[in-house]
Amino acid sequence: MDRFRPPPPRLPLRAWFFCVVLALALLMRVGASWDEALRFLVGQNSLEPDGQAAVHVLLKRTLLSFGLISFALAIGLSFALAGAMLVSRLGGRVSRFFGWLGSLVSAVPPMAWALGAIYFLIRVRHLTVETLFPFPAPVGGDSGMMHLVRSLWSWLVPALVLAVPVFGSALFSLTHRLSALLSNPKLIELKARGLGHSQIVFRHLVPLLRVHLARLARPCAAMLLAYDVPVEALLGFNGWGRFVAEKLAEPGANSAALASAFLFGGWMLASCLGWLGLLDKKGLPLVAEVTQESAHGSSRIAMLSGVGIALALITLPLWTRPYDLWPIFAESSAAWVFEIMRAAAVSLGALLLVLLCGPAMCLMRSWKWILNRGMAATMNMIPLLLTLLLFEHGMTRNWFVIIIAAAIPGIAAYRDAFRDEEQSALADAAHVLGRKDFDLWWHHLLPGALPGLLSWALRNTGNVLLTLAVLDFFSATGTTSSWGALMRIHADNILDDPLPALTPAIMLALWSVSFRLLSRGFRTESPLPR
Amino acid sequence: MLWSRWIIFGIPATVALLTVWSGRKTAEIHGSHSGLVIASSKGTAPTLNPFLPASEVDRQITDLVHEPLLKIGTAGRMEPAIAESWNWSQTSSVWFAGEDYAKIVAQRLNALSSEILEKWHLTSAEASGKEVRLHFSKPGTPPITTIMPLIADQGPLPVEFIRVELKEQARGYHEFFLKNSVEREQIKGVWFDGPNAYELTVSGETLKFFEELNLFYQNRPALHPSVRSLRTAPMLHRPEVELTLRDGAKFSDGTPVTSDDVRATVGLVLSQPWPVPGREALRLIVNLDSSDPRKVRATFKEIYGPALTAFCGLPILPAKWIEAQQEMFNHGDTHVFLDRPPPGAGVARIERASESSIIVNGGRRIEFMLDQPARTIRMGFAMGAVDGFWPSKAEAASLANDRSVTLRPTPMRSRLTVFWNCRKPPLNDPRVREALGMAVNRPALQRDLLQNESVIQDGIFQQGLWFAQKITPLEFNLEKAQHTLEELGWNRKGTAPLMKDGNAFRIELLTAAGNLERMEIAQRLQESWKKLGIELTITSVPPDEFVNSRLLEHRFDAAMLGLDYETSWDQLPYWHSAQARDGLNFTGIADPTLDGLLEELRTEFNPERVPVLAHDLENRIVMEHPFLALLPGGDPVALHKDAMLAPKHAANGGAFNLRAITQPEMKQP
Repeated sequence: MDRFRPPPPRLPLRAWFFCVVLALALLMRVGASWDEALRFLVGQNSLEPDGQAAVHVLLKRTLLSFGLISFALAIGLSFALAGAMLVSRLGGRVSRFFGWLGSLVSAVPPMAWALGAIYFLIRVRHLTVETLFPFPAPVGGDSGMMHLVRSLWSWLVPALVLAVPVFGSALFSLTHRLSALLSNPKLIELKARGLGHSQIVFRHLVPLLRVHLARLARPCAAMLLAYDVPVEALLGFNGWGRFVAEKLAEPGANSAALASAFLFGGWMLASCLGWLGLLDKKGLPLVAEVTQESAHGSSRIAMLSGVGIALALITLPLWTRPYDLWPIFAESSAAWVFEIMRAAAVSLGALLLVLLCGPAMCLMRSWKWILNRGMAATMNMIPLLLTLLLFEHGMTRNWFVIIIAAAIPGIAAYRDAFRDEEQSALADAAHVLGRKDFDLWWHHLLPGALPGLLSWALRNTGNVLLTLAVLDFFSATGTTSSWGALMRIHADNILDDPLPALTPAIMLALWSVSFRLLSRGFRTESPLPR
Repeated sequence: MLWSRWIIFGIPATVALLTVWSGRKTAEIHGSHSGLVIASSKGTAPTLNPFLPASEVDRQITDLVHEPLLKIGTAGRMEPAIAESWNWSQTSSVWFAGEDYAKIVAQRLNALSSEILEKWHLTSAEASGKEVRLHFSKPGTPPITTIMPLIADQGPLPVEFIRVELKEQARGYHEFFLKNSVEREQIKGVWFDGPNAYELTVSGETLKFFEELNLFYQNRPALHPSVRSLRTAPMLHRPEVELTLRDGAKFSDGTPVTSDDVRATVGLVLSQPWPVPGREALRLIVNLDSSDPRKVRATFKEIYGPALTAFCGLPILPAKWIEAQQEMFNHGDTHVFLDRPPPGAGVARIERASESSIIVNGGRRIEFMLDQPARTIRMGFAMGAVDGFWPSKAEAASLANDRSVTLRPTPMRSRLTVFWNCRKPPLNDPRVREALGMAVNRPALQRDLLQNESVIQDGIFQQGLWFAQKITPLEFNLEKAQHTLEELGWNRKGTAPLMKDGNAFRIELLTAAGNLERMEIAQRLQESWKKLGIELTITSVPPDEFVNSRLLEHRFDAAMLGLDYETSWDQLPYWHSAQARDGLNFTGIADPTLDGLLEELRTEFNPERVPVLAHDLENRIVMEHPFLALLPGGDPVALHKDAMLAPKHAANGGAFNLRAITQPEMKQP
C-alpha cells in the first residue's frame, strides 16, 4: 500500500450504483416483484416483516454509523500521519520497522480490538462504556454538559476502536511512502540549499502525503464499513453495523433486511468516497511518480522475518511449554493448520481466477470494457462487505462467494497492470510484428507477472485469514474451532477470562503479518505493483 | 508550514485529551448513583404474581412490596406481620338421637370440676338441638377415651365422613340433593375439595343416608360418580384460629388492611391453580369469618397441626383490587399483576412496572432490570451500573476472586435429590443406599457447581426453621462404600462390574429431559458409581411422563427430583406407607414407627413441641436413606460490597435478601 492510483471519475456514483444493484439482487432472491423492488429504491421495504429495515429506522442508524466511520477514519489517519512524521526522524529502517508494527496492528481482527477495549476500559481502568449498558441518567447528571460528555464518550470508544486498524494500515503505508520520498535523490538539492528535515517534510512532502492519504483512505473507508459490523455489535453502538450484525445472527437471516442494509451501506460508501475526493488531486505530482520502491535488500530481510515468525508459530508448543505458557495458546494453536490450509485454498482459488482473467481479457475485447478501470476500482472497495452481506442460509458455506471476494482486488490490479503493459512500447512493437493479444500475454506478460502473482497470493492469504475470522465470528462458515469462532464463543467471558478470546486474534495477526512479510520476497513492479 | 504542523499534531493531541477527559468525567458521573440496580437475564420474565413468583426477582419484589399475615422471622420462628397475634381454640361436636340427651350431656360436662376441665382444656359444653358442642381452649385431639365413658349412656352417634367425586362440577348436584333429600338432616357439614369433589360429614342414620346418596348418583351415570365412606369418628373436631390484625396496617395506597382483604386473598388463592406454599392447609378451611374488620377467624375441617403455616408468607392483597380484577382471574389472565400491580402492605411500593424494568421504592429506589442479555448484565456489573445479578458458573468462579464483590446464596427454597425406589432390590436395602451416597463426592460437586456457597442438607426440613436440626452429612468415603457392598455380597474382579449371585449392579437414573445442569450432575453420579463397579444408565424423561408414568407407577430405580422446602412440618404425604401405593411417597418407604411419628407430627399444634417430634422423624428418615441430597436450589447472587449496606444476615445463612439488606433505609408505610 505504498502507492495509489488516482480514482476513476465518478467513483462515488459507481460505488453507489454497484451497491444498489447488489441490494436489488438480494431482494429478488427472496421473491420480490419489480413493483416491490422499485418501492424499495424509494425507501419502502415491504418484505421486511418487523419494519426494522424501514427507511426511517435504518436511515437514522445509517447516519450514526456514517458519522462514526468518518470520525474513526479521521482519527486513524491523523494519528498515523503524526506517527509517521515522528518516526521519520529516526531513519528509514527504524521508520519501516514501525511501519511493520502498524501492519501487525492492522492484521488484528476488529473484534479483538473491541473486546480488548472492553477489557482494558472496564477491568483495568475501571471506566465505563456507555453503549454497553442502558445507563440511567444519574441524579443531577442530566445537565447539558453531562449529556455532552456522555455522548462524546459513547462516540469516542467505538470510533477509537475502529480507528486502530486504519491507524495500522496508514502507518505502514505512510512510513514506507515517507521513507521512499525521503530517499529521493532530488531532495539533495533541497538539503544543499540548507533546508532541514522538518522543513523538507512539512513544506515539500506534506502536500504529496495529503494526496496519498486521501487515496489510502478510500480502501480504509470500505474496510471500516465491514469492520463496523462486529465493532458496533460488540460495543453496543446502535447504528447500521449493529443492525446488520443482529440480522446476520438471526437464524435464517432476512435477505430483505440485508438488502436494505446493503442499500444504505452503498450510500455510506458513496458519501465517504465523495468527501475523500475533495482531498484528492487529479494526478500525482511529479515527485511522486519518480519515487523508487524500497530497496530489494529490505525485501530479503522482510521475507526472512516472515519465515522466522511462521517457524516460531509452528514450533509454539516447543518453546512455550517450559514457561507454562502453552495452556494459554493451546486452544487457538490447535486451529492453525486448519486456518492456514483454508486461507491458502481460498487464496489459491482467487489466484486461479486472477490468472483466468488474463486470457479472458485477451480473448474478449469487451471484457476490458466491462471490467473497466472504474468498475475495478469500485469492486475493489467492497470485498469484505460483499461477503458479509451475501451470506445467509444456503450460502454460508458457499466458498465461491468468498473466493470471488478475495480475487476482486487481484483482478482489479491485474487488469490495471495489463492495460499499462498493453499501452507500453513493447506491446506496440509486438502488435506491429503481428502478435495477437493472447501471444503477448502468454509470452511476455505472464512470465513477468508470476513472481508478482505469488507475492499477491501470499499477501492475500494473510488478508483472507482476516476475512474468514470476521465471517466465522458471525458463524458464516459453519465452523466452531476456527479463530473467529473461538473469539465469538469466548466473547461473553471477556471480562472474566480475556485470553481465550484474544489469543486467537494474536495468532491470526502474527500469521497474517508473516504472510505479508513473505510476500515482500517476491515483490516486483509488475503486474501487481501494490 | 506552521499551520500544517498544528493540524498534523494538533488533531491527534485534541482527540487524546478529549478521550481522557470524557472518560474520566463519565466514570465520575456513574460512580455516584443512589439507588440499587438488580439485573436479571433473559428467560425470566417477571409476573409480579406474589403467589406464583416466576423467578428470584419476583420473590424479592414480593418480599418488599407485600406483607403476609405471619412470617418466618430472623430467628426462624413464626412471627407476627400483618396479624399481631393469634389465638387457637377448638370446637368438637358430638350428636345424639334426641335433644334431651344432648342437654343432659352438656349439663354433665359443665358440672365437672374445674381441675378436670382445665386438664382437658375444656372451657364449656353447649347443647344446640341434638348437638353438643365442646369448646376447648387448645386445639388437638381431646381426651376422647376419658370423655366418651362419661356420655356413653346417652348414646352418642358416630360421625361418618363421605367423599363424593364427580366428572362435572359438584356444587349444583349437591345443592339439588340437599333440597330433595329425605335424610338431609343428617348432614352436619360439607367441604368442597375443588370443583368436582366434596366431603360430607354425616351423623345419625348414616346407612340410610349413604343408600339415598348412592341412589341419587347411580341415576346419573354420566357423572361417573364415586361415593365412598372415608372413616367414622366419635366426634367432629373443628380447630379455629383467630388472628388479630395489627392496628395501623395499611396498603401502600393508604387503605387499612381488614379481615375482608384476608378473606378475599384466601378466596383468590383457592380459586386459582397456583401451587402456593400452604395451599393444602388453606383448603382445609371450612369457614373464614371476617365480620370483625380487625379479626379473622378461620375454622379448619379437621385437626391439622401445621394449619397456621398456611398464613405464613401469604401476601395479603386488597379485596377491592381482587374484586376489580375478578373477571381477568376468571379467564385465567394473571398478566394483571404486571399491568395493574396491586398495592401491597410491605415496606416498599411499585413505582413502575414493565416487562423490561420494575422500579420499587421504599425510601431507597431499587430498579430491577429484566430481560437483558447475560453479557450486557455482566458488563453493567463490571461498570458499577448494576449492583447485583445472578452470574453464570464461569462468571461466579471469576467473581469469587474479586474483593469488591460478595457472592451470596439465594435463599434455599428447594433442593435437588435422588429418590431411591426402596421397593426394588438391591435398593430395598438401606445399607446399599447408604453406600451409594458415600460414593458421591458431594462437596466437590458443590464446589464445582455452586462455588461452595452452600452446605449439603441431608435433612428433610429447611435449615433455619426452628424445628429443623443440623444433620451431619453423609461423608464421602469410597472405601467404606466399597466395604459395605462387599459385606452385602457385592464383589467385583478388577474393573469388571459389581456382581452378586451372577447379577450385575445396574441402576437406571431418571432425569428431566432438557435440563442440562441435571444431566451434568447425572453424569457426575455415573462417574462416581462407576468407581464401585455400578452401571448407571441415565434416562431423560419429559416432565409429564416423569411423574405420571414413571414415579407414580413406581417404574424407576432412582429419580433426580427438585423438591421445594415448606414451612409446614407435615411430612405425611411424602413418607407415610399409606401414600406409597398411589400417593406422593415415591420411594415406597414403609416403616410403622415412621408412620406413627408422621401422624403424631401432623396433629401437633404446639410449636414448642414440634422440634422434638420433627427431630425424631428426621433422624428416622435419614437412617433409612430413602434419598440422596445433592444440591440446594438457587444460584448465588453477585453483589457489589459498597452497594449493600447490611452485613451478612446470620439468620438465613447470609442468603440474599433485599429487604434485610435495605431494611435500615426502608420505612414502614
